[in-house]
Amino acid sequence: MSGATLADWLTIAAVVAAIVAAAALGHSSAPRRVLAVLATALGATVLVSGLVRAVPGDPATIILGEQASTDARLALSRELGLVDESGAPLGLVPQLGRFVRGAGAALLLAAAPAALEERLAPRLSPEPRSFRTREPVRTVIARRLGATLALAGAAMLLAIAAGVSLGAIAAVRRGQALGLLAEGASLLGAAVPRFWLGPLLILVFALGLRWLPPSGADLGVRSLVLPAISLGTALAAVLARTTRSALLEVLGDDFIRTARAKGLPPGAVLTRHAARAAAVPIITMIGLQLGGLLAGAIVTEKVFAWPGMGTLLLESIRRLDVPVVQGVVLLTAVGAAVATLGVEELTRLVDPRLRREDHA
Amino acid sequence: MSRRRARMRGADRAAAVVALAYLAVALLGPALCGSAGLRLALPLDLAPPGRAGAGLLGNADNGVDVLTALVWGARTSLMAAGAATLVNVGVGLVVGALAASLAPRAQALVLRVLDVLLAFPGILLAIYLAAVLPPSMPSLILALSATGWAGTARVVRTRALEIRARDHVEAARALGATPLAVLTRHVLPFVWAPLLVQGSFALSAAILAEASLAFLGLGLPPGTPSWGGLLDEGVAYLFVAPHLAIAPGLCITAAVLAFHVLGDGLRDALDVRLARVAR
Repeated sequence: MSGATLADWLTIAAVVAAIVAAAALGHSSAPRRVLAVLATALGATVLVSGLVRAVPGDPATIILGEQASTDARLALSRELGLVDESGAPLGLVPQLGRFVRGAGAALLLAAAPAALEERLAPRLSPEPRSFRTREPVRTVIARRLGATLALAGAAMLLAIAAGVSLGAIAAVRRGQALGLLAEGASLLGAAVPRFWLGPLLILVFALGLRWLPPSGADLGVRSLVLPAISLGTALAAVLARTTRSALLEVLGDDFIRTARAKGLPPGAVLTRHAARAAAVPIITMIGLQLGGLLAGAIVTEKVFAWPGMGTLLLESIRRLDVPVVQGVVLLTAVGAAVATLGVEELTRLVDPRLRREDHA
Repeated sequence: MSRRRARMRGADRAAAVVALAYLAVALLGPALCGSAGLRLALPLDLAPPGRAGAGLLGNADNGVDVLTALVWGARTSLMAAGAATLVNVGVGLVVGALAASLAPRAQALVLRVLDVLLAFPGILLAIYLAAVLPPSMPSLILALSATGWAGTARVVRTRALEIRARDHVEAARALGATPLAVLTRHVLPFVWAPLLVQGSFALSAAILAEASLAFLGLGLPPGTPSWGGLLDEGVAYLFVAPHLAIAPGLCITAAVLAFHVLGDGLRDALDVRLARVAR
């Protein structure tokens, strides 16, 4: 076992301190919540880095095969952060230390302006690179990030529009034919898995009606329609159920009765008073579902051959390109945590009652 | 209102029937239909239903009979998802019960760790695990149960705390029962109802996750019959053999929905209010 350096121990100490601090502080006020997200990010890092060790046997041999030369296996082990420069196996602490610093370097370089990049790079830990192309992992990911964000964003907008309208119809027309229809649609949407809905959409709209392309991203917005529907439907169904119950609860409140009593037309009561109060549980639910949406994009991208991070992840898994796999998984997990935090802050802007709780 | 309740009970009954059918096919099906349909039959490659010699639901890549593959796929699905659910419920029970007995500060720490696990999108971790572990049934079960237990642990902890505040627990303590006896004999018997509900939801989620992993080509060694794997073939040959994509998708949807509706029904029947958990 090669010994851990001071830098390794400092890295570990920072990770542990952040997690303990977040745990001790709970998550009510804004800085504490940021710390909680940091702890989540670091926890995800520990999981992603540590799990390579969970592989029984020597990871380098598994990846390269039994016939690979000792030199090649040693080089790969070094790249994986499993052994140090002399070939002695690294303990868990230095392994994690290197991983965290490598990920940090990649993050800093990705954020730095191009002019600073060359001056910054030599001062940082070596950043993780793809096994196959030797490119930095952040460059590989950056090429695919836009497509995934476009897909997830379109799916999210679609889900909000469809889900909230369906839920509002189900609440306002409760017990009537239209309301039951909206409820039934949302139940069906929740039940159909993405990787089946996608092929069904392709069969109907690409093969049958020939309205839209079956896969790829060559036709701009037209290519985006089917993947976005396929990814967004489950979220739309969840949002429809949330909207329905939130509106039903709000519509029974005193301030709604007051608004009605002062002679406001029903449409204005709904949009001006009820919608604002009902928005909080809906926004909270969006936050809770963001991680699922990002992970669901992996499956959707495969169905539609969408050139995003999901297909990158699957390609990299097939090629055993561990650093890229780790990068995508880590970025997705941290992205979900950060987005969840952002959504939580948004609820505080929408509902003033939540802001007061911070000081209570 | 009464009409609505009657309709809900009808949905529950339908879900129970589908769930029982799933269990029956997974347990008995492979013995009944044999494995002859899984052998290569190249003349029947991608044959649609209705062609001479083709199976009832048509044939898949290399002429494998779709119906036989679906029956064997049900067994794969139940083995992986069922075992993952047992791990989920077992680990969740132990961690949740122990967490409820800790000091408040320590409980807060455990809760934060559970939060970190729950913040990690479950299917993403499953994909990562299935990718780094060698393809086998134990790896698949591990991947499927990696984060789900954290949600169960939270539910168990909440419920256990509720029960510990009750009079009969105080009485048992006053009579000198050891902490372990209080936990096992006076608290845990009240935890089974939410655990059953949680287990039903977990099984539904695990069936979906197993199918997703198989669809992505992860999890079990290639050639193992699975619903997700069949659907993967269905997508690959969508324009040549659309019949391939329909049946496995229907099976996955029906099984996932059945255990989910069953969980809803159990929750209403047992009057369990689950703690809000991000799923």
